[in-house]
Amino acid sequence: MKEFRTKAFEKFSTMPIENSQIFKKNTFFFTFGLDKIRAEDLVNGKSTVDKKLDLEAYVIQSGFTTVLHLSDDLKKKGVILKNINDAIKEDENLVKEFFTNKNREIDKMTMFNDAFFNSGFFFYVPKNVELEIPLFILNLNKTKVQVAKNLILVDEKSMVDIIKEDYSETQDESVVSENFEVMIKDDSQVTLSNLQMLNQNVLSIGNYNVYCGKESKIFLNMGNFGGSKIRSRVNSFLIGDGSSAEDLEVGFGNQRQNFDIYSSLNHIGKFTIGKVLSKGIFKDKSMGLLKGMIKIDEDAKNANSILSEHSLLLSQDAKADAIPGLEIKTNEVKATHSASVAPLDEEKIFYIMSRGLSMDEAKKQIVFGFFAPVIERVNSEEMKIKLQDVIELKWMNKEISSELSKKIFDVRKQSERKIESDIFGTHYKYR
Amino acid sequence: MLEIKDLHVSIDGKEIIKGVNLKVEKGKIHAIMGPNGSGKSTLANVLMGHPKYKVEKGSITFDGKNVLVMTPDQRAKAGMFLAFQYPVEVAGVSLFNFLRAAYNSINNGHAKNIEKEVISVLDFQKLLKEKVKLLQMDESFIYRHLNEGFSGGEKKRVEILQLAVLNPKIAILDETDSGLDIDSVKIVANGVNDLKGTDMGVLLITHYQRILKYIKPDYVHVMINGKIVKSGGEDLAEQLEQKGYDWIKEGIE
Repeated sequence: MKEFRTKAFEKFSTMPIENSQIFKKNTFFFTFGLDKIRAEDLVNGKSTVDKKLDLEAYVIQSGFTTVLHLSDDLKKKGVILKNINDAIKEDENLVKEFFTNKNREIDKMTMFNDAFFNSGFFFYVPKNVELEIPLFILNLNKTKVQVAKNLILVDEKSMVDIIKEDYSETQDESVVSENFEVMIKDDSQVTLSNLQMLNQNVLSIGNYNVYCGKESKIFLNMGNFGGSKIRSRVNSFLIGDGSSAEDLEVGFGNQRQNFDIYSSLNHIGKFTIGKVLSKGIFKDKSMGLLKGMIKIDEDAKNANSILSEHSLLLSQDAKADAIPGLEIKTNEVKATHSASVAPLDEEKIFYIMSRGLSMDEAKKQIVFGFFAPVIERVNSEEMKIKLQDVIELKWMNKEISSELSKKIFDVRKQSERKIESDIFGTHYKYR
Repeated sequence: MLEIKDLHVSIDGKEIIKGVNLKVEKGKIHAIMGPNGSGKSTLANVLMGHPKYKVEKGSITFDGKNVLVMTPDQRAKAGMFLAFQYPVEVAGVSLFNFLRAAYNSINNGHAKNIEKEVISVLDFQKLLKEKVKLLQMDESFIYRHLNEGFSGGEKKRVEILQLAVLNPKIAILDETDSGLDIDSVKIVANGVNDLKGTDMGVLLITHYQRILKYIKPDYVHVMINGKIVKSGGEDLAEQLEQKGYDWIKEGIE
């Protein structure tokens, strides 16, 4: 482990912030603010978590503290949920694969995570297990630096949903780095949904790598709303023949937020299907980069890949760019991409206003309509509702973390009083 | 009801409407005809408050109120409606939700009672389905996204559907008949005639005489080069159909 970290640290120190030539001139993170981190912040990240959720499987992460809960029923089925450091010691045979993975995409920030991670969990779903209730991950940011590595291994013919929500309980400047490594074995399906709602002083770094086995499916529903600078990297590796990935990205920036959202589809096996739909709205002085990449290998015959990135600008000071990239090394494939950045259409606003809606309402109709095609595709009912909630708050310029984390407290209180209905309990029964 | 006095309008410094006077009374149908580029559509857009156009001179009043100081939504709430020549597509917004929001907004505006929800989802659905039938449209339309992927003819029908649902005091129809086949013209005309009994005034802007066979105008005005150059009754439209606009142009010169 020490060697793994040392090597990663060397790479982190020497690698440029952006590897690809295409994206090099399009990055906000020249300075990135990592220099503000002091060595002691990387080791003193203890935080107390006194919360409980009335769920079968959940993780609460805060600073270097990871609280885990798994019901006895799930344990009996062979499901494993444990702290990453324990898993590295106790489940070497299962975890090993993650640390020797040749497909993994390496960039400066994954190397940062590899070198300094000090929290996180390992989640294992054995063969032929279908989880009816999602694994819920609650991320409560309140320390200066949080570096979490989460490993998820879903064995053959299994199915699981994972929902993660990030909140801040502090207004201080801080860094939250997260690396998700998701390995999906043959014929399995995973839905991973993420709502990033940190406060606007947080540097948010997300590295998501998903590896798909034969005929497996990954659905990614990613919402980025909080943070001062947001760097998100979502890489889907379609390794097994017939595997598929659908990556939906929604971003909404206001004030001075900077978004750098990257999604890649890596077709390695034959007959693989990949789809990225990325939509961003930028208000005030916010900036957004939506980057996308389709890579199709020599052997990936009959791959089908779609990449679409669209941004809407709500103010003259907001900026956005959509940069799609293609690297196709074989014939007999289908790959399409579309990209656009557009300001609000004056004609649309006039049309809507002529029907009696105010300027503000007209803009709101356009904003919700812009996101609607992505939200309609989200395959989790709970996520759909939450995304709409957050977009509404964002539209009203509300501090989302404090607005929504209050609700989480309410839920906790309710479950202590043994009242059955709470937002998690009810929504989770949708499937 | 609607009164336009000595109206001058420009866009990007270029004068398009050069002194228009017009009065539209309750329940009356006024047709404005004229060749391309005569300023007919500009007049329609200015009446509804399009931000692109600048009123240089003159006045527009509606029920005695100064329209020129009102935003487009305030004009809608006052009872004005514009059926667009080129209806805009609004992605991701269903016709149902959009029209319901518009209905609530406009009727709250009338009643000046913001606390009160004007119509329930169910009642509104009933109302909308009635009007959809009247315009011989498929019910599925109301759940589709506003004008997105609609054909030209479908868009025009949806404009009249909105007119029927919002029930304004005055309807400005901007080339609603253009691009429609004859059956669709009849359906749209029936939709308008159905509303006429409600004291609604109509300002019908058109290229062709054919829609006037189905919607009988009380007055016909000819607009050329930013001015109304001739006004008359229904028979004026027939004369235009036979002789074209050149006959009038010559008369002016």
